[in-house]
Amino acid sequence: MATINTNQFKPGVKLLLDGDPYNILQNEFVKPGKGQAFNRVKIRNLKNGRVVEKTMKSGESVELADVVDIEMIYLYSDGKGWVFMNENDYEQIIAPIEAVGDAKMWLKGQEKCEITLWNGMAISISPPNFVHLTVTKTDPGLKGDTAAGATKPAELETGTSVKVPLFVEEGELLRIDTRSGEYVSRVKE
Amino acid sequence: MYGVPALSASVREYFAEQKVKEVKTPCLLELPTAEPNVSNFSLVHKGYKRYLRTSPESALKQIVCRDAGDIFELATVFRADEVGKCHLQEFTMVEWYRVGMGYKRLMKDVSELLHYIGLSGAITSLTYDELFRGEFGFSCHNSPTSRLKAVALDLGFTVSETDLNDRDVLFDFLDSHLTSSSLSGRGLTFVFDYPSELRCYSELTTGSPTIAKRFELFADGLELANGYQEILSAKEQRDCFISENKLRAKRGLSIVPLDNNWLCSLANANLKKLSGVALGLERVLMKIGGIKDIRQLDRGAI
Repeated sequence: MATINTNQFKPGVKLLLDGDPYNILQNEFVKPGKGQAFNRVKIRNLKNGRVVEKTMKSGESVELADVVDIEMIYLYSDGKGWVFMNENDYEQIIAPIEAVGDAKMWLKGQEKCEITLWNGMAISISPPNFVHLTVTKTDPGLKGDTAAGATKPAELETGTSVKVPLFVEEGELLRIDTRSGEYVSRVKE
Repeated sequence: MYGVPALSASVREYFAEQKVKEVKTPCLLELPTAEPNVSNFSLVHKGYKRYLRTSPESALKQIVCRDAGDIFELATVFRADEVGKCHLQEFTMVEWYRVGMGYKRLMKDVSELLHYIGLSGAITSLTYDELFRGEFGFSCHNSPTSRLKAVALDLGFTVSETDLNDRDVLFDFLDSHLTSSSLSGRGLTFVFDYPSELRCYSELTTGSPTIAKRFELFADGLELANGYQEILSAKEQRDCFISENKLRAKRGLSIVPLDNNWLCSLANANLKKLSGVALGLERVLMKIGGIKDIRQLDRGAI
């Protein structure tokens, strides 16, 4: 198994702790003049996204997690698994629903996603920052109504509901920011 | 922004007024430190070995024991393995000794020096037990290992089971948490009367619980100075060295020869009370200049 010494810690290093993969977000060397040296790290659990603080003795070795991020295209879902394809070698993987998480709100097929693989298994999926989705259901648009801030709910083709301006019509294609889940603009096809 | 030379000049002025004499002792030593948590840089030349000092403590104590009175040194010191936002491998400490002075009186001396050299502001003080109780809800003195362990685990201490049952490791960890977390945002703060586990080379009280006559000064959790009422018994100092060697052996570190010059000078001395303290000048400059990373200090500054 590959290990890393605490003095090589830096943001981005992936550790295996208590059986879970973590990403180092922050690393601080702490040493009282007369006391032992410690590394205080802020780490993100790559399976559930939770951020925790841990302190280790400086100079110790910690196991590295075999974690890589790769880009893959979302193909389809059979309800149980989400299938992604690597454009370079056409290899396909099936991601479980826990790994897909909130990304499923924005995926209809053919999106380029970032997949985090741990020991070859998908543990998290990041959708593209912007996606284009069609409105399937919303109240009729009010022509010329551009009153600042006024919105109504609209259901997209993935089943996700977003807030849109009053002028948006059913069947229109929208640009959505997946990080905030907000409407950005209409898209001309 | 001024640097270590200007700060050293005002340190010298303060001690001239106080009639504390300046001394200069070697950087190159024949013995490494016995302290298990501090490591020397070592130099090998033609088959023999020398060490860069981690502090001038041994040399200064030998001078004080010769009845030299109050002394100070502006010492460049070296610490291997210490690199970070608050750590330099080469830094400057002013270390001084006051004959006949207790550690609490020395704390006043430290405050006066700090104000003299330009680190102003009110200085508060609290005992180690007050700090410890405030954070963890129980006393640091004679505390059961199981409680220390539970608190450490709660704070995300990630070490082996052996280390989790080691009082020295637990105290060091809780200490680093207390100072860097609990004292941050509290300005200049003296912490004094340490638990015996954290005595280092300080004298102990005879009552119960046994308290170490040690203090530290923090600026928003950043350690600036560490002081003791010094051990004056050669036997007690020898016992300290031996328990440090035991700890070194346990941690797989090399055993260090006893510093006999230090021990002999204690044995031949006729001191009733002695206190000493070391203050890190680059850390003082960080605080004066509001600098967050010590590596950003201009080391060529006048």
